[in-house]
Amino acid sequence: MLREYASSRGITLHLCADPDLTVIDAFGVRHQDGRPDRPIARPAVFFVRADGTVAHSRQPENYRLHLKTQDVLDGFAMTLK
Amino acid sequence: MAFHLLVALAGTTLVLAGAMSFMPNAPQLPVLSAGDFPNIVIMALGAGWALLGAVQGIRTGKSRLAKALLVLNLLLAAIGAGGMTWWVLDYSYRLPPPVQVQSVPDFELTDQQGNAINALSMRGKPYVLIFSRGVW
Repeated sequence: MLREYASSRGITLHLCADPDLTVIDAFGVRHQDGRPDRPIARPAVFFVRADGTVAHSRQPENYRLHLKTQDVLDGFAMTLK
Repeated sequence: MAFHLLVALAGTTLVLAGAMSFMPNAPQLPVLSAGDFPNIVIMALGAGWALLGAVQGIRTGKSRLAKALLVLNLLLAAIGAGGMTWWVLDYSYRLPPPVQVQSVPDFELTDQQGNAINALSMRGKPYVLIFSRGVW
């Protein structure tokens, strides 16, 4: 059902790993103290327009806080504007 | 009076012990994990003892010096327990202000089907890029 919905809307999902932190550093989202054994990314969401410019990004300054539904909707609205 | 002083001092000692037991892990992982939870309980218990000692001591005691000591002790316990709890539950989760990115930098990753994903291949349609940390 989800696959049908996704394909009808033209939504694709890519899952990528960044073990070397290269992309994490390119976006400046490294959380150095996130884990004692190795740094990881801070929680971050980027809403990107078709031309590759960033319409909106959310990077909470407290990583217990997750994005709310309204944040996501606002991000979409800004991206598609 | 002496008994109440003893209770209050034991409470502060508990608070200090709870706070100190966070220290070995503090620089690497200053977040509350399941293993840290007993420390918070111990500190709350200690603050409770300090409060009990202070209230009973002030109610029944006569020595002004002892009363002042009890108040000071309670203050110390409250600051210790409250401060550590705040630090563990709130402060340790804070992150520096984010770096603002105006446009997507060049990146290259492989997705779950082995396809190369980069800034250029994603052009043409809007998309959402989510950095998830697994352990969050």
